[in-house]
Amino acid sequence: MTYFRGVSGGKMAAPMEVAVCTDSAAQLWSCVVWELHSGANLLTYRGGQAGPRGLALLNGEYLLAAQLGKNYISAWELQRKDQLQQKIMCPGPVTCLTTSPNGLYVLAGIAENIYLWEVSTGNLLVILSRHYQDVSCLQFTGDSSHFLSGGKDCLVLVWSLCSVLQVDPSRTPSPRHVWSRHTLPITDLHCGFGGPLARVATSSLDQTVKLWEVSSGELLLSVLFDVGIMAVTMDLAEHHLFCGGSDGSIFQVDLCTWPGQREKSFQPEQDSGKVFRGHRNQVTCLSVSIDGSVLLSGSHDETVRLWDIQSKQCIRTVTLKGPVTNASIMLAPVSMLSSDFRPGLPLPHFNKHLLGAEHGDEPHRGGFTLRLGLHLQGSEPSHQQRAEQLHAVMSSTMEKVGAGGQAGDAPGPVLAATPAPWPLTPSLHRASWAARTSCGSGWPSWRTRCGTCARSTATCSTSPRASSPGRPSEPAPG
Amino acid sequence: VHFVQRRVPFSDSTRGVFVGTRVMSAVRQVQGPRGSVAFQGVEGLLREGGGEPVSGPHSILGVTDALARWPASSGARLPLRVVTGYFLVRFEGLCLLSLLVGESPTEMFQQHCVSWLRSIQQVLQSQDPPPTMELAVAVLRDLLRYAAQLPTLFRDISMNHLPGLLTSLLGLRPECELSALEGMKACMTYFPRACGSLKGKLASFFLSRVDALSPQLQQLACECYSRLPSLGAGFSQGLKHTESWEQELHCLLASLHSLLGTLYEGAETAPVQYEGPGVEVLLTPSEDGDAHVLLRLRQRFCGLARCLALMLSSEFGAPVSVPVQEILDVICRTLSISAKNISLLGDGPLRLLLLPSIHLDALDLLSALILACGGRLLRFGALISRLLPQVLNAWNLGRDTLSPGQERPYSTVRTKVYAVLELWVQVCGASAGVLQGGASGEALLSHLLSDISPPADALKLRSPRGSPDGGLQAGKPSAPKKLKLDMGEAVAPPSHRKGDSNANSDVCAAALRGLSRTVLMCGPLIKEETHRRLHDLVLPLVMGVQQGEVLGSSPYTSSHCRRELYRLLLALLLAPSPRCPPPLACALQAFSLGQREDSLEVSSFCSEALVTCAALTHPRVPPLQSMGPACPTPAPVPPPEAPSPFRAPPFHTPGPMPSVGPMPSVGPMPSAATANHLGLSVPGLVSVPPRLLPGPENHRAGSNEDPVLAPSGTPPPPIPPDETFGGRAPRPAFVHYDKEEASDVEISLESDSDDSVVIVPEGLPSLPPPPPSGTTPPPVAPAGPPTASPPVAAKEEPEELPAALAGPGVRARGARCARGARCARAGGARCAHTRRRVRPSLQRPQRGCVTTEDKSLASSHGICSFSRH
Repeated sequence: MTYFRGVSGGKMAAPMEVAVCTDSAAQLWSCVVWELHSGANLLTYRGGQAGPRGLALLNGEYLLAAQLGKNYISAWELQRKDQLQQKIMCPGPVTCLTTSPNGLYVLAGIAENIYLWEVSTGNLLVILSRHYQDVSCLQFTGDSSHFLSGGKDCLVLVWSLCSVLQVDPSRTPSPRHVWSRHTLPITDLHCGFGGPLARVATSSLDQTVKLWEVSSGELLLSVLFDVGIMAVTMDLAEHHLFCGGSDGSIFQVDLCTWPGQREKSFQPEQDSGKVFRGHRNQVTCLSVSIDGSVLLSGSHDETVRLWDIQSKQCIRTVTLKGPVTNASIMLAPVSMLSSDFRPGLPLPHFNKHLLGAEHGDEPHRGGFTLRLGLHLQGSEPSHQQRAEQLHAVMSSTMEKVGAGGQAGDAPGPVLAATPAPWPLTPSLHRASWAARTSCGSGWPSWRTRCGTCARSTATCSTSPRASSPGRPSEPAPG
Repeated sequence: VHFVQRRVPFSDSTRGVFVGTRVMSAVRQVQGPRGSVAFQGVEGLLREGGGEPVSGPHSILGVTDALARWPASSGARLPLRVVTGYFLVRFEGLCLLSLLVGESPTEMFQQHCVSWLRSIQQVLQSQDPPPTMELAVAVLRDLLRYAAQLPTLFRDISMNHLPGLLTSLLGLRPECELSALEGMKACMTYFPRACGSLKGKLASFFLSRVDALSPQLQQLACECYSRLPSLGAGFSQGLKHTESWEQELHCLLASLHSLLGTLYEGAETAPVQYEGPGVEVLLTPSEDGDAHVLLRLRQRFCGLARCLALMLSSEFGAPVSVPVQEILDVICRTLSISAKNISLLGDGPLRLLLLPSIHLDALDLLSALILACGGRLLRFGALISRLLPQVLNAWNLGRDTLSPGQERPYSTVRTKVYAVLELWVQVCGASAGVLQGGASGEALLSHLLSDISPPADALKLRSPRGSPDGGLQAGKPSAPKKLKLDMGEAVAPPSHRKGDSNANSDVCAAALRGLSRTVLMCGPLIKEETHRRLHDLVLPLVMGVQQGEVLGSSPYTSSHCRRELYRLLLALLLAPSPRCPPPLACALQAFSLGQREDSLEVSSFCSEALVTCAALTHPRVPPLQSMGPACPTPAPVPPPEAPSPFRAPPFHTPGPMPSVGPMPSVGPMPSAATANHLGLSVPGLVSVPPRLLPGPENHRAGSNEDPVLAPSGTPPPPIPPDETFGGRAPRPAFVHYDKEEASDVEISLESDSDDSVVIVPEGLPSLPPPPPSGTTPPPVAPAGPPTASPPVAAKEEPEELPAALAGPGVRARGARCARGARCARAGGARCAHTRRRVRPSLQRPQRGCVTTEDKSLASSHGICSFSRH
């Protein structure tokens, strides 16, 4: 396949990273996917304009895009590019959208409410209305155990999925943490790795970026800039924080410098080596490649730029037809590259009304739609295990049937015919084998036959059975 | 050509016939381009059962040897010498065939497969003894597996051979039942479509064996039965596979409900009735007057529950819709049958006796459901975390009366519950929501702790003097069991007692596994209090195990349990509560001692754990922890304790927190002889772990950290003083000031040397006059406005200080901070501005720690200036 980029000559080809971008004009297509390093245009998805922070990949099989100013979400099967598959109707225009990394839940911010759908049934499980202004960004932690929401009401909320789902209808679920230290609307948030131990960066129009800890809910760091910050991201190892300003600059904050301070301000004059300059209008989205060497940024100046993080040089500029709404780097899922891929599960019908509410849609009787036995994949017995099982059956057959008339030339006592249950597990088999070899008396009946030729004994040593201890080698009788 | 005369054994040795054996050629060698073998001989062997001359240098065992060796020699010649004889020839033929099936190249396999299949079918139709059948079926399975991969062969066999094969399998003698089921399973697995025509017959065949008494037979029958829905073409009898799967599932559910109703009639308080579309499975009616009718019902329940579990956990071709609520209903109904409601009249005792096994079946079903649905079950998480302690409670009878060395009753059920717990956490990760407060979390925790604690008499060695039992138990009602065990009175000497040395090790290991998995995944979400209780149990236990104290007849004689204990310790270290520092130093010591254990299982685990610890103690990036404390100074002694370096607890020595410092009730100061700094008793001297002593901290009510209910408007609600100062948490207790004030007071804890100094905000030393409101340092404020209070407080004489504070040597003085910061620190070791003074304290780390007394004193003066970073 040409879908792998060779990193360095003879080394193994790295899996392909792609950049997925949308702009708000969407003249030719609504979403474009290009190879990150060559810039080759791979795919386009057509139909509608995706809104900012409104693009999400579901389960590696579907691409969801919240439509700008419209009250539906478009869903494409990843391998069928040009055909709009399904529209998920929503009660209002979707302001932001995300999916859980395990592919089980879809979250959408609709005005000041957060809607949570269950993918395996399509049920709308809960509507969270804790923000009092529009929700601007949503993200799950990497282990899908928590999700974060940031709003125009300057609040960032941390929700535990578990407690949100448990809550009975009589009580409104409350977030695990409320972070209210921003003083102007939240523009972006980024959650690092680590599930409940993760750190979260939030950016705001109040010209600060703050770093928080999910486990304790504490503020770890606050960085003050000269301009409002519209986008924030971190590299995977969380060494650097990248902050996109409303003036088009991108600032890099090093998290590992020392001594660190809880409050610091970023002075572009002093930290001139830490600014990516090139965009002419506000930066709307940022994303870092897996190895942390390349930064992707989208801006209202209708370009997407690729930067080398080390040198702060712009490597590539791609011009789109409108202000960029989403640009992110991701590992291309299999389904994106092979057109004969089919999603494992059909996309359910997403309900518009709350589960259990009156005058709701008809309840989805029957329960979760899922594929069974996925956990068994790869656990089939290996070749050696099967060979050992077969061997166990042979030996037991030999013992049970052969033991009866065995007296003549066998000097030792007759083999104890231990009934070997079939199928024997390898360990069980080994144990019974060891028991037999250690007793020693069972062997002669084997030996007389096996040892009839010297050649077979010699080659015997390669067989696992012959190499077991206690097996005497014997010269050929003839 | 080699001739051997040998008496050949027959299965029915009554015949006792000596058969003159001739060596015959099983295989004619074909010197093809690939140098492989021809196979007609095998068929000959299997069909004719002897009589034909065969030549070759090997004996029968040569064949089996060759089988084992074949992969190495494939492609080479296969020399054979086969002893004539009806059975042995057939046996050898089968052995050889098994080899050929596995190793032959595709074209050969394709060419000969059908004739091999016929040969096997002939064996199946013969009167050969059961072991031969077993071997034949084993070969058949392999053959079908490969045949299903080749389309033409697949079609041929499906059309022409499979029905016949199934019929022969169905017609096998009763003593070959196992082989028959095994063969049918193979057919159903690899040729599901072709089995459709015989679905009805197969179903009744399996159903009649689902309640078999032999566990092996029952398991196989259940496996086969659970595959029935996938038989036949896509539309069999007008139903798609998935629909027939769902229908089957509902039938099983209906049957399980009705069986339960019969088994425990009258014992259920409010039985859930099944209202789904399922129709009961038709089992053979049991004869009236059957003495074992209850046993039979139980066996049926077990079989059908197992079928259901297998349906959920085995692979199925198409996506299905799993009726989770209905399955959970039957599980809950089963698990809520309580032993208390069963009357002891009539056959009540028998019903009672059968109850644990019924519960086991339900738990198996639950784990199959969890495995199948995974994180989708999150909605039902509360139910699951309620069910587990409920079952543990139900099977908690008579556990305390037993002497050590005796397995406690119902340990199988308990082990299974812990396995389900582990699975649930494995599947859901941090969102599993177990042990996170609530009554059920508390109950589960106390069960876990009671199963982990070694039996009483292993610990009683450490309680030579009477311990204040009663007050303690009143103080901690949630863990009476653990305390009782810890304080257990001495019983008869353990030497003259019958028992198993590793009794209860299964349940202990399962509890440890469940707990360590939970802590690892949900550690930061578990309450601080719970972490503390775990530290208090685990650390002394680990040390005790290493010193051989706890051994004897405790579960920890089993190396498996010891390894799981270390795993729990590692989990506590890796996923600490954000408010309770992990026991790094203690764990390092424990792992390095554990490395020297003789058991490889334990020592290798400890080595691995040490590598993990090394990554914690020597982080690769500069320690970001300096961002956490308000004073950006490298912490003097403690290496970065927390995995998250932002949050280094600036307030404790590198020891386990729970036990740092003197305990209030022990008296003035425990001498070094009675308690080491780990809080672990020196054997024979101090009886109880310090945290178990009745101190104020042990009477604390449960903390209010329920994340769901927390009315969180602003991030952290200000902590009430006694909440923080109750001697519990080693919280950072300092305020960061940007400027030094004339009123600042330094307190030296140890001597009047300059190197260990606490700068206390004014107001603390002045006891009687409460500080004016303006002078109280604002809590939390990172940069409080410099207060302009008269330096009265600074002039307070040291003798006015609380005695405990003044004890080591306290003096007040004007602020001396190098950079002019005014900082109040407990333990002068943490301030950047006093780096000069900090360094010497490397040698005396204990000075950096303020004891609980100090803190409670401070709290009594209303100074609670805490930096919550």
